[in-house]
Amino acid sequence: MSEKPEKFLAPESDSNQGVATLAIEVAAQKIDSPGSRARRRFFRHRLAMFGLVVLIIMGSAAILAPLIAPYDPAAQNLIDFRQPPSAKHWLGTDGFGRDVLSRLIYGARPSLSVGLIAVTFYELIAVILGSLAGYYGGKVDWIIMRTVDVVMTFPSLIIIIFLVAILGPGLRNTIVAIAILRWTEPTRLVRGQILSLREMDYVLAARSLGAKDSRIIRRHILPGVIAPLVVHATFGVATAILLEAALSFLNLGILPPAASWGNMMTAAQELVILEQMPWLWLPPGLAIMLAVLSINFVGDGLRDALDVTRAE
Amino acid sequence: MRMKSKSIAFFGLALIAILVACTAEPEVIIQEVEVTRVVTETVVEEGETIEVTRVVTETEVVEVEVTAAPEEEPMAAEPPSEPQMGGDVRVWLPNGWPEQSWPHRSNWESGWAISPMAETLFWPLADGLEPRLALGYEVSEDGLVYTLNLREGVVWHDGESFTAEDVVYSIELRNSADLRPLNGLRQGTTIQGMVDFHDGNADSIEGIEIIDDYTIQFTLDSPDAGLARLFFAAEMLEILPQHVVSTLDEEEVLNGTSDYWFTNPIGTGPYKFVQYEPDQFIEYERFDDYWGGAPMPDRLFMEISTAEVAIVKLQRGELHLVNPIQATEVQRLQEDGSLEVLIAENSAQWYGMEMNYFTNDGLWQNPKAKQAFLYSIDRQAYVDSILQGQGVVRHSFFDGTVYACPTMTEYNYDPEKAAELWAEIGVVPEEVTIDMMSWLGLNARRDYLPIAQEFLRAQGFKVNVDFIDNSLITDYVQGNGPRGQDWDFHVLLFGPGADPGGILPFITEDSGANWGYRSWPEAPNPETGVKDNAVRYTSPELAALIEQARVETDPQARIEIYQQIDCIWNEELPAFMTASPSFLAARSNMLQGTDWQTNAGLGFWLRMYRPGDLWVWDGS
Repeated sequence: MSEKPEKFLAPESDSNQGVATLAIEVAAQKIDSPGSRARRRFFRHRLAMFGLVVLIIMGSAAILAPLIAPYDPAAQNLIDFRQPPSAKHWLGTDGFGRDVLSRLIYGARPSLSVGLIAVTFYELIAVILGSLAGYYGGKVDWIIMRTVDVVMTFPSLIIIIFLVAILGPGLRNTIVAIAILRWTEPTRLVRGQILSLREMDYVLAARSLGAKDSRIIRRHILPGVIAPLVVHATFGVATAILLEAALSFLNLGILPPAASWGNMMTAAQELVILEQMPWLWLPPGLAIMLAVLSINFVGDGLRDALDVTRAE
Repeated sequence: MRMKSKSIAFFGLALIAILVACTAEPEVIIQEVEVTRVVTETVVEEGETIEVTRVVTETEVVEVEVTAAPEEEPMAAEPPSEPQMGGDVRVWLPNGWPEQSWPHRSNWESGWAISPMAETLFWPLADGLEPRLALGYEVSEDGLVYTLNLREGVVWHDGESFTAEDVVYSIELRNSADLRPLNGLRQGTTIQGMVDFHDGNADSIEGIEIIDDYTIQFTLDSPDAGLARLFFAAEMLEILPQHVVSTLDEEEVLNGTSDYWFTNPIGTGPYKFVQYEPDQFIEYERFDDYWGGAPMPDRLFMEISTAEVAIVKLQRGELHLVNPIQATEVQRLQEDGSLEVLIAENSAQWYGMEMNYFTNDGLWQNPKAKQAFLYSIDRQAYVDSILQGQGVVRHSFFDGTVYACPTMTEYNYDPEKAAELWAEIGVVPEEVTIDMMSWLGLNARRDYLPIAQEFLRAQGFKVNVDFIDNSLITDYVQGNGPRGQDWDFHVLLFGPGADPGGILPFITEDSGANWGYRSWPEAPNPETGVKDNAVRYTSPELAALIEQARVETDPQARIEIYQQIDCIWNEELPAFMTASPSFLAARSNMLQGTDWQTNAGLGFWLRMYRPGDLWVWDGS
């Protein structure tokens, strides 16, 4: 225990000593609740803090893109195409004479939003299906988990490319394609957590008191699933960003003229650009790397912070 | 945290290692060098210390660091004027060898793969026909009888003689009604009985008669000015050895599943087939009994790889020829002294915008809308940027050829004129969405769309661009793609090709052609019940002129008719022209025998040179 509670010990002379001591103990427990302990651990995690700062900067740049981007990211200037970095264009221009810096800033929008929205979407699917499978077991569990097994055998990138090809490229369809292929892993995670939580005494107590299943799942079981799910979601965002980059690199993701880090990397398919024009592929490549690395650091930090078995 | 620190340290070290690996590493070489030293020794002699100085010369083995590659010695000589014997020729084979069965072949790449061993009757040139297995032909006065004279003394790679039987057998097999999949009957439809034979209503082609071993007579239903160029010199009519193919399993031959085509095929060409290593290479060896004289090199390898790998291999001297190359590679490769970039202006093909098959009414049936579209886009800027100047803006179907309209309107970039035209036909750009599609593969084709999109957006249109995978082309254009039937254009490589009568008849629905010039749409036109052209353009006037040109055998009169046709095209714009990309390739200085301009007017970018003409200079 930390030293903090000792400062709040009630004076011996207090007339209502017993009550006061209890209140102080409760207060002390509140002060060092699992939440605050996790927060403290998280904010002490230096790499997580680094990742968080980078993500905040990237997120701010994405939100404030119209204010900070020097040029319209879609504006072409076919006279100044593939110009190296200069005072006019800090990161040079691309094959259509568009400002690479402006596209890099605007490119953060689809890249980050695909990650966040797709992951939110499939984690929700996972919570619903995982809860049903884990809580009810039996046939429900069998059907859901066999479906999970089948979907997990699909080569995800190929199926996602196939789905995008059918649905058509674009931000929305990229999100849908990622979401409907990536829900299986968190579903297993949720189910596993629920299988152990549903046998807990407090769940039995709630059940014996006549609480409805939906209430038991919502109020007593799901809170215990949130922590591992959040950690999984963070890593999922990183994976989704990479998937979006891969799809856009193949011209199957974000549609032109919108910029995404992935479709900016498309230029790197030509040897001459790889060798002689690094400003066309290095900035989006670094942005993807930094974003994914930062998200993974944050994920590591959350995992360490939420691990109740871990020593302070 | 300790694990995290270790991870970071590891990551940092890996990054440093990569950076170090990317920098030029000094090379250490061991050399024997002669070293001269001044040696001073102290000698004690008879109790007296004496200093003796002497000069010593000795050989020592030392390590020397070389930080830059030693400069290559300049070439000692120009290549000799006479071809040199021996050596191996290595050329790049783009996209591999997808179709091995000769009668089933439908793509150019596979034709190029077999071109060292297979031969056609003629080789088309921009201004005539070069005799190959046929020496020439005579035409009757009424233009209805063609007598084809074949080359005597030609032998197959197994030593058997080539005869007229082989030619007729090849024509019949290629057009057989039993072939699966069936080949479309595109040329030779005027030969008597050809359509019946193709439809399975006859056992032989009535209008083809073997006169003797080296003479064949073709009788036509009606004159056909394009017959020689489009049928006799057809790029896909490789002549088959009847004495071999007729002994194979018939079902396998008809279905294209016989192993023969990639295990031991024979032809009459300058090279004999040796082996095919799937996705790696095709190996050929010199055929000493070739009718045109044996080729110089011992072997010819056609190597399969991606374009990027091919360029690297070319620069390392492991390939002699890479055809084609991207326009963006030209400048860089021109700076490489060991290579030559081959450039030929192309008047046979252009990138264009083909309309959606289902758009048979509405805005894009109005020629002024199409003209406004062209005025809206700075196509010269596209040529200068995406094509790196290696192309020419085109304004009509035959632009750049002798068949071009003499009074052609040039649709150069003029946004004000475009706005006037849009207003004149009542188009409010802000209310119109234009959907355009390109499939992937050629960057120059793909990259036209973002440019067109930006210029049209500047006019006020909302523009969507779809890039789709090659495997989905047919579905998309048939209206089964994500936009259904509601899209406007797709980009394609288009143009007159080897002869003006090749593609043009199938542009207009009234020309009498009852099948699509492309493979889609497969479904027949719901109104006419026939498979017709993709753009669904209707012009009785154009159809009448096309028919007139088809039967006109006088070359000058034919040119004049096609010029009239081109003037109609120039105004009506059934499809929108963009620009003709130049034919670009790169060869090693060691490779000789490429005459890059010869076939520039044909549109066969893979047939810009003859495999049998290539030879390798050994540098001496």
